[in-house]
Amino acid sequence: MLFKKMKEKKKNVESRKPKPPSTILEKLKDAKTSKNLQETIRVIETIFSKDNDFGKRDIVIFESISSTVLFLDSITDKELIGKEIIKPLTEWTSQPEAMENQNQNMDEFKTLVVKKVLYHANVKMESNLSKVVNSILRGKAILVIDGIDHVFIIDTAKTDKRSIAQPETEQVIRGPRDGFIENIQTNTALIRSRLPIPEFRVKAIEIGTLTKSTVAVCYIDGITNEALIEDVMRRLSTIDVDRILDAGYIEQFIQDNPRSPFPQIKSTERPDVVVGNLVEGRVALLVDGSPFALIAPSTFSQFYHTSEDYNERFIMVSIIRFVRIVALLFSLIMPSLYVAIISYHPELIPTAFAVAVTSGRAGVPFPAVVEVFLLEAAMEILREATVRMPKQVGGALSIVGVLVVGQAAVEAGFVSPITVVVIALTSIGSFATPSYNMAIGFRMLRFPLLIITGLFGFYGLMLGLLFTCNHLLSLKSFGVPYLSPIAPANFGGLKDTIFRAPLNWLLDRPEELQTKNKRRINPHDSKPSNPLLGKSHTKEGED
Amino acid sequence: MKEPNLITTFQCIAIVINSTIGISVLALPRVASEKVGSGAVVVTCIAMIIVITSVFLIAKLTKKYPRESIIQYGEKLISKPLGKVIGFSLIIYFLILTGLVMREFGEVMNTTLLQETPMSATILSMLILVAVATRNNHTTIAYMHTFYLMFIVIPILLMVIFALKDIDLRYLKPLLGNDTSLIDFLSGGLSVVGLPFIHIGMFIILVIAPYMVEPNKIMKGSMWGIGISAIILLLATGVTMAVFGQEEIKKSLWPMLVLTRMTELPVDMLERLDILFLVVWIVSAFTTILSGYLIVIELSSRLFNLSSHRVLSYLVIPLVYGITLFPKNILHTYELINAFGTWGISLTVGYPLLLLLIAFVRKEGGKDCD
Repeated sequence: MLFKKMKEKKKNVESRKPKPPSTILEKLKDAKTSKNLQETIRVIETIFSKDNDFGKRDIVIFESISSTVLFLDSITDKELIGKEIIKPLTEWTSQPEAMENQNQNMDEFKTLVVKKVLYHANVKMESNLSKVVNSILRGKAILVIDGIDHVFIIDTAKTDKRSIAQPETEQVIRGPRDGFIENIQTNTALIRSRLPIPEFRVKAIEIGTLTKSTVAVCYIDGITNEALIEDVMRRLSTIDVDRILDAGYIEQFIQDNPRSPFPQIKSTERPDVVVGNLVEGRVALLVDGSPFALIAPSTFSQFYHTSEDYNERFIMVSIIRFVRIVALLFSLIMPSLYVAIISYHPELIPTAFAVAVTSGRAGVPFPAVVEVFLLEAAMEILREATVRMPKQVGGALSIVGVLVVGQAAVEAGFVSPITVVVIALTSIGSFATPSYNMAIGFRMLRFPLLIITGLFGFYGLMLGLLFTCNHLLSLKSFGVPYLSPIAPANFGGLKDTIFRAPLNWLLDRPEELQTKNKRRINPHDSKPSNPLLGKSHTKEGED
Repeated sequence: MKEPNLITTFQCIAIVINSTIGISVLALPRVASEKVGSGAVVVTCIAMIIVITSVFLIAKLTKKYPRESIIQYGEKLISKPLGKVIGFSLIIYFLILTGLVMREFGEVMNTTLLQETPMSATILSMLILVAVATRNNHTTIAYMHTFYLMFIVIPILLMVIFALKDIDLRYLKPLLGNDTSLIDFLSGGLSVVGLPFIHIGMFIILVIAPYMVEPNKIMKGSMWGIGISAIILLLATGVTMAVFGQEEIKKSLWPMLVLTRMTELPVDMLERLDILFLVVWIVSAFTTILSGYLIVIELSSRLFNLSSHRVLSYLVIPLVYGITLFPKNILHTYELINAFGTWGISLTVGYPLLLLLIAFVRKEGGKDCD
């Protein structure tokens, strides 16, 4: 019996052991391509023979040497293969002398093919079979020539991608309209075209044993703290998972506190936001297949800032940011505040208004907590339903929602009209937050807050808020305190929190990032002078 | 990026202010005017002078031994067993004190916000909040203090400003009270110093001193901190006295609470403001209890050579809770606070003073870096 159990246990352990991601590649790890054309093709064909999209084209080059081009036609540009590989090879007529005594001049022959014959910009030679198979899988074409022990790998990858469009989740009124797409090359290009400096680094690593997604770590040398880059690389290298389908996977694997309701890494679809953060000394992560870039470290204040904030004049922006903070707070505490006042401290309500409140609640069968809770739950259902529905149905759904929840429920005496107003304010408040994941964190937190307020009134509300604040204060994003620059207080950094100072006041990079190069602006007197007033005035300005 | 477990000077100021302004401030005017009537402001002044002097001495002591806890250099200075015994009694003392502050807080909540809720629920929930907060390292706790500082100081100043229009300066006269003697003033001052939040505010300096970024700045930090809170306490006592007068103050347990009840906004927005101000007292109670709790677990972890204060965070909950159950009623609570507080001065001020004297005589310790 015991033996049997042990055997079973062993079996279990065996099945849980991580297998090598690909047994085929594992087998070919040390295999080399052979001089014999047929031999090399046979090995590759055994792997791909069952695949519909496997393409094989036999050609004769230099009028006598047989060779073959292999590729996966679903992810390659066939026109390119024809124009840049097959055409020049077959049209080259002069017989190279080298072919006469192959063994000595094989290298010469190889360089002839690469340097003179092929037009394509990206050609490599390779003899390791597993790397060759990998290249085919990445959309490259393989040129195998009889009598040569290397194969030529030509980059012909082409997958369909959508064109650059305005990001849907981060719309701006004033600012650039381009957004990331699912292709990492395009995304890198969008950033690099905005940062034409040699210090801009894009380090790529491959994550995901099956999906082999490319993750690019972008930063600026000489600004970003090296300890931060090391930390990001270390966290990325510890990820051992079979798939990375979106930047969200990476975010969850590398964040500091996975149990927190608050996002600790900002994600953005906008290249200008990424560049703005890189310049501040942060690190950006691009993931192949995801239109979102991750920004680390992120602090709380970044989640209510938008890229537009820096494009407008500072007074407007400061007011708008204040509105956003109020909206965020509304979405968190409004229902609880209402419950605390109605059921624990009605004496707070001004006398003139008290009558309206009590008459509105006269026929309502539930206590205020239950009423608010039910309506909040209904609101969440409505929101979730409208998000998932196709647009045509969404309109009808919101009409039904508004009519049923808003109008009919009040008329039926199910809820009081003031409750509906409170719930509406709460929901709108949460939609006013630029960052979707931050808004959802706050929206979900208001339920526990509501319950504890139902139990303890104002004291409960305070207790919940203190809990939340303590949690926020203890959060770190890559070692950077989440609430900085508010706590720990950093007076230079306070110029860009709720209040955004004019751009030429923001002299330094955020201090919490401990950047290597602190200064961003050389302070100088930038009072605009009037060119029409003549020389005397400009001289004064120069002084 | 690595973050050091250290406290800056500004955070030190915030910690001292937050720890000193606690829920007992509500009762401060009553305690101050108990013996000397209208001389309460002078009594508070005397008390603050005592407090500032002892904080100065405590800071002096910590500067002699940077990066060391009072338990450690106490053992060094007055022999190991004696140091351990006094360290242990300090822990017991602050355990009791934290429990009593907790109970006082529960009483305030029960009479104002939650009349029908059992007090144990209020106390336990606050205790859990504090215990969870102490799971963090010292830097994070310092962040908490800096963050809550504005939520404590600004509303109290606002309250004072709102109350200014009701002031009647005649209530403050005679400045020295009627038929009072110097002894009355001194004993009054001592009973103000005996209020638990002052002990916690003084002793927290000893706890945070080893974690200062610049150990030299502990003097600056603690003096600024205690100075600002002394001004706030004086203002609050003075205004309360000037609004109510001694007779009125004697009648109520928490005269400051009555003061908030009187305040009105110039605009008729909310019917009453005292509930909103109570919210401030909840925050200030939280910070004071947090400091008291931190003193207990930090000293214990040093005494028992534990790796970190966090180990004890949850273990101390039942002990503190047990102490909160001990007083029979609110009056008994204040009797106990008074008795423990006044006698505790000899422990919380006397012990550091003794150590300072011994260190001075032996010329021991690191160079006094001025």
